[in-house]
Formats: sequence, structure tokens, C-alpha cells
Amino acid sequence: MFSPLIDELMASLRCLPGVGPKSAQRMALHLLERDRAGAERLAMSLQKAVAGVGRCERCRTLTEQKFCGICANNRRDNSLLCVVETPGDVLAIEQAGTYQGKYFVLLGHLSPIDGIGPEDIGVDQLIKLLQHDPGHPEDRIREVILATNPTVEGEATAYYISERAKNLNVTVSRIAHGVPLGGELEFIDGGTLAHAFSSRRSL
Amino acid sequence: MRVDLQPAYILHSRPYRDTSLLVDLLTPDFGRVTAIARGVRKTKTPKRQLLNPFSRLLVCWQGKTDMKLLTSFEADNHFLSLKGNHLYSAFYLNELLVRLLPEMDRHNGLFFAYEQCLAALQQELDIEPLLRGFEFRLLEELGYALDFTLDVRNGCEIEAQGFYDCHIQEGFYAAAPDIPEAYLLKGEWILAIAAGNYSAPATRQAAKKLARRMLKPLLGSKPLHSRELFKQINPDN
Ligand SMILES: [Zn+2]
Repeated sequence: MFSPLIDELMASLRCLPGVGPKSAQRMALHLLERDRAGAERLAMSLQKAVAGVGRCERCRTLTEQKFCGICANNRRDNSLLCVVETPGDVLAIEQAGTYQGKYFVLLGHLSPIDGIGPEDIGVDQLIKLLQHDPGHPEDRIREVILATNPTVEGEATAYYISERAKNLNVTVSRIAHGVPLGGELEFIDGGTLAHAFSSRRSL
Repeated sequence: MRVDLQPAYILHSRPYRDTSLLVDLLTPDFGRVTAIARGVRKTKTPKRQLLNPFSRLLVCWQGKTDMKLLTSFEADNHFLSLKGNHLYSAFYLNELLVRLLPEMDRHNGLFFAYEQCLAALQQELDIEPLLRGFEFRLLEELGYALDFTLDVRNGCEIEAQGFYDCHIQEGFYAAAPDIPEAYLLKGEWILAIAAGNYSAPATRQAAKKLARRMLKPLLGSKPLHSRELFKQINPDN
């Protein structure tokens, strides 16, 4: 409908999550009609990010450095390692602001039917990290906190890692799931409530 | 065709187009059904969570070709929390069903057999008898029913002291003297399987080998990922 370059831009924008043909058209026209400078900047930073950003060699999160800011930060507790599914999960936990340890990012979860196995989510690298002797006893990882999602795939992933880490002299824990703070029981879905009951604790 | 408020278990769901999911369901009246859940990936709605494996729903869909559309779905107030090896076993059931059960092929009792198996896994009962029971049941539904009490070639009953072989399309028969040992089945094992008695390790072993041998030609060369995963954390199994 438009000229080839505009069509191509719209088709490219559709690789973004949640962007259908309508939104792609709106975005393309906005960039070309109203914000050429913004478009220029977007194109440049996209190019730079794609060329420069890789994965942290220690935790697999996205970074353009050898080690990401968190891994390189010596003030953080090296003895705690929190395992999450995505870099977005790292951000969420960082924003909560209470966790002071380090992370390992799986970039996915186990999904047997889709054929996504341990080798696809870096479990061997994680186990090596747990086995690694840093030379300094304080830096040895003492506890792994499994913070994969509370979905069945997240559970399957957490279980797999806990089994593999069993004989490594490391405490393995799983974050608690259940009723959200400030929520009212009446409005919470049945699945969450069932889970909250099955993982209740004595006071 | 419109289907209303059909009970269904989610076997698997995968992303489809920008915002939708393609879900595999197991239903009592229509067997396995694949349908599109439109727009559910747009926001992180609680509705999206309902489409995770093992969740039991009431669903409505329309269309009868490949592209059925879920018009609505709601939770059926039935929540499982499966753990560890029992969760892995439940994934195995789903993988078997997705791989082997043809779409829209009515299988009356299978839905309930699956439901019972999930409930037993939830109660953390002994895994092997559950899986073997389900595998033999699935084979039966697919047209490969085994009569665990009959020697099909001479019409006699299976005898505890006898030695047997099994052919997927026929059933059990007296073993030839040169049968490979891996295929040899003692009569007492076959009778124990028939009685659902898996207390003896030899019966367990025999039942597992038999089920694998029967499923193999149906599964083809592609491995079952859930089985591989199970083996990795249970190396002696
Ligand atoms: Zn890092």
C-alpha cells in the first residue's frame, strides 16, 4: 500500500511483542512524519546495542561488558545466588531492593514437550559456577535461591536444578508463592489460594 | 460447529502469531483438540495462567477444521500442585498424548483415566504403576489393546510358569526358544501386570520394557523429552 521502504519499516516493527499491523503503521508514520530525529536516534542505538550487547560471562544476563554491573560489584554478597528465568526478573527483584546477592539468568525454562532441555538454559554453566572454588572462603556460594516463575515449567526447572545441586554442599531454597500482600482472599484466584495452602507454614 | 462448556485439561500451549496461544486440550467428548486462544498474550492477565499445563477448564470453541477458536474458557475449580518426579511424570503423560492421540478422535474413558492419573500423581503415589497403567490404557485407546491373560496363538490362558513374547498387533504368545532375553516375559510378570500388582521389581522392569517396546513403533525415532529429563535426575531408573 505504501512505498517499499515504508512497507519494509512497518514489517520490521512487527517483530516487537504485541505490535500488529495497525500499531506498526502508526509507529512508522509517527517516526517519518513527526519525529525524524527520534527515528535517527532509535536506528543508531538499535544498531549499537545489537552489535555490542552480549551475555555476562558469569550470570548470562544481557550486557556489553565481560561481566555485568551486578556481577562486577564487589560490595554485593557473593555467597548468595538467585536463579531467575529472564533479565526482566532481575530488574523486578532489584527494584524490590532487598536482595543483596548475585544472580544467574537462565534465559528460559525447561519445557519438555517443546524440547527445551537443561542444555538450552545453561544449567551446566550454573553447576560449574556452584562448584567453582573462588579461593576466598567468603566468596563461595552457600545458598542458591530458585526464583523461577510459579508456573509448572518454572517448578520443573527449579526441581531439576535442585536435584543437580544436591551433592554440591550448597543450600537450595525456593522463593515462597502465595497470597499477594494487601490482597483480599475473596478476590484471589483458586490456583494461587490452593498453592498458598499447600505451602503454608507453622507460626 | 459450536461446542459449549466442555471439560478440558490443558496438555500444552505454545505462542501463536503476535498475541495468541495455540492450546492442546484433552476433552471427554472430542479427545484431543487443538484450538487458538486469541489475544491472551497481550497482557499478563490471570486468564493467561489458566492455559498452563494440567489446568482443568470448561471451554467453548467453534469451528471444525484445524483452526478451531476458543471462544471462552473458565477455571473448573480444580487445582493441582504437582511436585518433583510426580510433576515430571505428568509432563510425560502430556507428551505421550500430544504425540500419539489423533485430534478430534473420541476416546471416552481416556479423559477420566488421565484425570485419575493426575490426581494420583498429586497424592504422590508410587509412580511406576500409574504410568504403566496409563500407557497400557492409551495403547488400548489407540487400537492396541493387550489381553494380559491370554496366549493369543493357542487360545490358552497365560500360565505363571510359562515364557512369552509379545507382538504389538496380536498380544502374548509362547516364546520361541531363540528369543532375545530382553524380550522374554515370564508368565508370572504378565499376570502381575494384569492384576495391577507391581510390588516385585522384576514385574516393574518387565512392564516398563514392555510398554516401551509397544510405544516405540508409534512414537518413531524422535525421543520423548520428558523421559530424557526424568532419566537425567533419576539415573538408576
Ligand atoms: Zn552478570
